[in-house]
Amino acid sequence: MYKTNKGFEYEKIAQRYLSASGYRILAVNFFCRFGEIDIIAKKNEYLIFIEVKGRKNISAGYPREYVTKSKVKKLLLTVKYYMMVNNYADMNCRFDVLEVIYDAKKINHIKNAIEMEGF
Amino acid sequence: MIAKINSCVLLGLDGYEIEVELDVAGGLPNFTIVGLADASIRESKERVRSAIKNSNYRFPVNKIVANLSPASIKKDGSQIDLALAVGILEASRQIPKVDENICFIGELSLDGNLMPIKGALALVIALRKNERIKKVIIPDANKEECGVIRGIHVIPCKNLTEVIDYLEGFQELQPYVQKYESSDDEMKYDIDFSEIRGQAVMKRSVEIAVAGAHNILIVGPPGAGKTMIAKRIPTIMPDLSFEESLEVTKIYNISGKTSNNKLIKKRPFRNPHHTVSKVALSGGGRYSSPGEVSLSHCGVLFLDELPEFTKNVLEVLRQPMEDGEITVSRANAQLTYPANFFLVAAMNPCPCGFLGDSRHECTCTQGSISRYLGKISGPLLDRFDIQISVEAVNFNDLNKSISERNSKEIKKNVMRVRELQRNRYKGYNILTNSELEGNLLDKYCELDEKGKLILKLAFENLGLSVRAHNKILKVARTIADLDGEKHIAEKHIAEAIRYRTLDKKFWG
Repeated sequence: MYKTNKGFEYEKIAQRYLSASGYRILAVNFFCRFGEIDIIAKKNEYLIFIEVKGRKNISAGYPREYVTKSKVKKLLLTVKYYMMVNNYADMNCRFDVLEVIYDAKKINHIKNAIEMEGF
Repeated sequence: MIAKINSCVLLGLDGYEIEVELDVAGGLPNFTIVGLADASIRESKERVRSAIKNSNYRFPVNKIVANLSPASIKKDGSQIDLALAVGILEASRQIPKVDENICFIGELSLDGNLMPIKGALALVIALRKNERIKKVIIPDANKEECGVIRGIHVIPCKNLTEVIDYLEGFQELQPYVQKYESSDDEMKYDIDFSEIRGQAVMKRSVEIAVAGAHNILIVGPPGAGKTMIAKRIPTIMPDLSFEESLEVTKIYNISGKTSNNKLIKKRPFRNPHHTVSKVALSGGGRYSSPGEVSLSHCGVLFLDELPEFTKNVLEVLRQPMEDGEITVSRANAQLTYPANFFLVAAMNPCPCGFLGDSRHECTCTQGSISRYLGKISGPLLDRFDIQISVEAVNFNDLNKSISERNSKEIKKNVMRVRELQRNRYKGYNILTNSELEGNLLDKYCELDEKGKLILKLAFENLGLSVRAHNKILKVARTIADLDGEKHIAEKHIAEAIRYRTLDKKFWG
């Protein structure tokens, strides 16, 4: 269970960062049968889906490299489901990736990181 | 918000105006193109995305739908990149509404530069006919060819930023106007008729052929200069007129064969190898492109070693030789390409090449000779107005120091005769003697009593077909024109008959 706890810790860091930068957090860890969305937030009329990735250091590469194709596929399905149940069909949306590098105390917010093209 | 931008695609040889509609709306960020777009258009998404970003505009994070209307026509080509980019900027309110009398043509590179496209000339010509369109924006590299078109403002741009600055009024761009003129430099050939020694008969008949646009077949032993003379035919043909130049450039442009994006001013000379396939000759294919018969439009199509061509490839020539155009029907489309070429063919009289030669013995068997000649079908042979048999050059002719007539003189003569024909056939929609038919043939190729008698004798003794009879009359008309005489005299008809006896000599 150590790893899961670590992940939650990174997500907590991400939430604090987002709230501080003016994002209104709508939901955290939205689960459905297709997958999970780490954070759903809102800012400037945009609905933003955020995938949080954290690593202790970058010895095994940047956290963003771990947002794989299969992960994106699951994320998109989940987002479509979320938008359907909440009736958000015509909302402006964006996918962000937020990477946390723990030892370096660094947070990179990559806006509009995922395009729907090809999925 | 919705934006509507004009653009243009190619259908065969002609441009077809389309409307690019863009809707930028909420929803999951996505960019789709609908309206029967081919792979080259669907790929433009990525180019447009990068070009907009790298031109310091914002690519909207929205659901973007592009519709190419009319949606029932298949479209391909990268030239609608620019329209897509401008449409996205307008629909996402980054630029004001674009005037609907402007049309956008251009491929974008990732850094926002406008890349040259193929077929730009055909697109601009098509847009000129549209009354609503007043201006067309084209890539800077295409301006030389498109600038000669009148009746529409051609505005060359270097990159997306320049286009937007022009639309917003920050930058004034003047329409590019290019004069059509052919400098001597462009018309220079490094070969000349005077290089051919002797072979007076061959030269005379080629001159007649060019003067009246009669197709010609030259039969002779190897080394007689058949290929040499054929290569020099463009040097004695009249210069391309502006309209002809446009047509030729259009065809070359679309098949991606122009190197410098300028108008072609030399008559084309096409010399396909005898292994050429049917489709390569006629045009068509997966991405329909003009074949050799169209590439030699307004120029010379030279078929060397005629019997070596596959039989069904040669039969392809029959329709364009009569109609001056070729209609290619394929699963995807039916397209008509112009194919008004001047056919020059050369061949040996037999497989070894020396049948009838005075200095060599022919080693072929009768069977192999008739098989060889049999590859040229009667109907095809009939379509050559002039058929001549030439002999090998003898040593005396080769070393003679008399100066032969050069291309310039012959060309002057040819142009005089062509001018004569053009004036004579004003209002009949034909230009040359070879196009005479029916009533016109009777009217302009009247014979005197002596001429009629000769023709009658030839007709009966040589067993000529009606087509051959008519062709003799046409050729006689051209010979009389070359002599500057109004009426066809006995000697003219006699010479013309001489150019039709070959099928009896070898095929008879």
